[in-house]
Amino acid sequence: GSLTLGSQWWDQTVREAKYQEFSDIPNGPYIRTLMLRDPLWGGRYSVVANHALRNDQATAITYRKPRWTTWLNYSRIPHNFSYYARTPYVQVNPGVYTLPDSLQKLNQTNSGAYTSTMGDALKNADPIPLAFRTDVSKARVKGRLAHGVEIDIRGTRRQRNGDKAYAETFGFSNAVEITEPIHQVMNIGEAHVSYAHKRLSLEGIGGIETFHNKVDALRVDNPKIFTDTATGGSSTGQLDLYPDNKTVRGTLMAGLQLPRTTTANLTVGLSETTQNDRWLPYTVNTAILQPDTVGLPGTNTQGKVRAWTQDYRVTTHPSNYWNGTLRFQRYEFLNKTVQHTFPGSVAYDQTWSYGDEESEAFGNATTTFGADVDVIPDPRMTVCGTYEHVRLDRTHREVAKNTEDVVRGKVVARPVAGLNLEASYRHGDRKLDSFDLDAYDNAEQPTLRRYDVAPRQQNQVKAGVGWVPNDRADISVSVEYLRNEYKDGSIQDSVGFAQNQLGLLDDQRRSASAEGTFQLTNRLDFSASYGIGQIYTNQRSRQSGSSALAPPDSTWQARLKDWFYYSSTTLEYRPKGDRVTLTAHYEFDRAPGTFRLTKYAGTKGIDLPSTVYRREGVGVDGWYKVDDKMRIGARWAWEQFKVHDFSTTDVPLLFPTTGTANTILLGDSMQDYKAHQLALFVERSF
Amino acid sequence: QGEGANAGTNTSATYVGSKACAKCHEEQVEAFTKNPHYGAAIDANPNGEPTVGCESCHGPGSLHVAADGDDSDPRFKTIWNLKGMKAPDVNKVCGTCHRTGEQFYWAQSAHAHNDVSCRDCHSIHDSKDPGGEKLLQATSATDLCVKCHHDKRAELVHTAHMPVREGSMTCADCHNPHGSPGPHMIRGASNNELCTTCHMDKRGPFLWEHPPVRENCVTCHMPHGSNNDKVLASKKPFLCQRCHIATRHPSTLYDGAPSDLASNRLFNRSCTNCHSQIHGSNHPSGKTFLR
Repeated sequence: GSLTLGSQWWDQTVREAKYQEFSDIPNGPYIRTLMLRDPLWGGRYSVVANHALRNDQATAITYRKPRWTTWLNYSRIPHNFSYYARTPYVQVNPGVYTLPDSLQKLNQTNSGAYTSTMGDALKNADPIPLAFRTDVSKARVKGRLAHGVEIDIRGTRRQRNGDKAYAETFGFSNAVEITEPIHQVMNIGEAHVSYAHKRLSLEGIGGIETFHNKVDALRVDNPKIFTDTATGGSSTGQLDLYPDNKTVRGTLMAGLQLPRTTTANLTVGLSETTQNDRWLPYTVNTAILQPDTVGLPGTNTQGKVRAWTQDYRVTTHPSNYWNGTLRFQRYEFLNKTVQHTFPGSVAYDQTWSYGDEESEAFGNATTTFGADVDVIPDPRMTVCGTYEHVRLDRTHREVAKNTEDVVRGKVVARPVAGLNLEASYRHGDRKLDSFDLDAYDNAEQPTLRRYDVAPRQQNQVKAGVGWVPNDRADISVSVEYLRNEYKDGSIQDSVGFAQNQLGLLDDQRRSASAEGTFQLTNRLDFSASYGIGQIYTNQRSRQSGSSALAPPDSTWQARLKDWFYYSSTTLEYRPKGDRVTLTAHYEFDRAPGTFRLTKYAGTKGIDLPSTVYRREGVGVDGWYKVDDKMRIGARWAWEQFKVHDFSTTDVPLLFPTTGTANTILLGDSMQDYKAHQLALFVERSF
Repeated sequence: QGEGANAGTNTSATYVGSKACAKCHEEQVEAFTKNPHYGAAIDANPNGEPTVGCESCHGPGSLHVAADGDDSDPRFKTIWNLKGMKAPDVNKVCGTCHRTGEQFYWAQSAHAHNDVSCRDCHSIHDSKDPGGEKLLQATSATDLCVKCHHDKRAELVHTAHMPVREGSMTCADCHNPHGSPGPHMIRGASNNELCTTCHMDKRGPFLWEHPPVRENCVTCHMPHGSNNDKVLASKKPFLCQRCHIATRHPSTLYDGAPSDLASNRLFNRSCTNCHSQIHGSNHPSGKTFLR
């Protein structure tokens, strides 16, 4: 085994949470790793503990006997959002946030002074944590009971505790950002039983999963109102947090090895998810009396979903010159949830609104038939072809059925030893069967085609080169281009107006990457990677007033680009004597975004400010081998983060900062920082 | 796994046991004692020992031993050297035992289809992962995957990312590199089944459903990483405005004029400043995901 102890000091120019977003960087002494194997129990156990006792620890304990293995794992995953969030609210119970009555009264009686009153109140806003931690505990036992029979029992418990930003609104001009208290428990239990004999493999899996949210609702005081009124609003609002659910599932799998290196696999699975959390009332506004009269149509959603999975595949390798696969898969998401009709609703705990509102149990099914053939005319070349037919069926959507035909071709060439060339092309043609305008319920523009159901032409090209000229070098380059075009010809033809189809029109993805590792000398290794990518989207919309059928001259278009640049370089040097190892690493990533806007009539569209996220870091590690049992090491690291984003930097507590305020925010701005780390390590093997 | 790992040998060699191997390959045999295979039982082991030994993977060694290290002796090469074998042949050796569980779908997997060998990712004698539990050729599964999937190396370090860069997750948490019936070798029959394994709170079913959420998480999210908060495919409100052009605020053009930048529908969390229940609501008044 071995034990690595460290002591670390770090500082940061600004305490921005991004630095420790998913980690816990220690300040002071800490255990870096602990590995134990041998000497107890005949070497049958092992312990691997990383970052022991820290908030990002991961510990695995394994115990093996000839026919049985037991694993125990425990890990923590922090998620830090911000250290700067502040709020005037006080959480009196989990999920219940209050303001001083005096403040609500003052804002109600003197609404014209709301901005200045809240501005003063927010000067004394208290910090509120914006972070949660996920603790994952796993236990697993796997054993061989008899000839060919294995059993594998797994249990996972995932607990999440903390707070993340959430919102509760009291109307168009009265939004409140607060935190969602997260106290959730997720349990998964699974048992696998498998049997393998000669050419047959069988496996059965049964499992149960439960989700329990310890906080059912988020109740927040309205900053503008102290007295409930039937038309003017509520002194407090309440929303429903994620409901508990339970899933029971079972899967059967069978595999058969047939003659001529042919394999057939079959999988059938069924799961049922239920959700029966008790409903909250229509509103907590005591002045709205209609809910007492009409009542709720039930006490809970009676949510039930059955998911069927079927997968059948046959793969054959009859000769060295070709192989092929036939596959069929069907996934059915059968939503059996009861559809409820509500006689009215209270959107913001503000006003009762009559009108039947019926919930809809959205379901879907995906059926895929595919055939793949690889032809190997020469050991130096493989030609692959794929045809796939996909059918998507949905309930309650504007498009009940999509079909897509996909063809893909790929060529892999190995002209000389160490050189690998690949190129592939994929084309997909997704069609819709018919369009049901009634599904829009007169609330959407008729020529809107949502990109998840719209007709789509997809073209993708990939190419790559891998070259290993000798034992000392390995170089690879790859490029990719993908374009999705969402065009409904029926709209263009029938209306004849070029700007008529609305929604996402097309998107393109381009990327290129290169990597290389080089052993420059027997003592010096060098590796580098570089990547660049761009996502371009082109969408069209309309700026409407109170009418759903906005005139075409209000059409606007947004062309957005998300860029991404990445590079990393590592140098490792081992001086003579083989006692010292020095490693230097540099990493850089930069992600700009641009927002180009066009308006077809009236005022010219003005682009939104560009955004950019940039992070770079350098780390230098050195290790000195004192003897066969001990090493000492040191690490210095520097990291810099810069952000410019009009929506997430300079976030005030009261928004907007000029004119009449309409939103209370947490002020959790992302901020630039620089950070240094210095650490010393001692590693002792035993 | 009833046949033993040595099935299919076509030599007349017989089994001699791992001790015989240690005479020349002491280092490898010693290292093997720390291997998860060491001590594992295998039914019908030809040596009559309930363990996996050298010959379970390298084939019967009597002729190889008899060659006494003389590589010019034809008997020397009767042992299986997996380094020099083609991917399907290597995979056949490993697949003799590893046929069920994680490896059930290996033969139909994209990796097998692309001539990836078990040895490309695993090293029995020289694994790099701490503790050697998975016998990986790299320190983590992610480091291994991005060696071939270059584009993912860059995607995983995006500003908005899963905790893969930090090591709290690996590619293998979501994908089964040995194959699965799900798309892209994910560990679920559908994207949503996979995502809700950890994000169980989003599973519902809800009273008021957001249809694309119910159908496919990746309609809005890019799980490998994104420039946008919550690994969203596009910045809000534009992501929402791809599908919502209803009356009033959803179709407003935010054109960068000062008054627009001061809109709470554009700033901070944009649409979700109000529609926080975007994954679905169970509240009787929650049809528009405000409650």
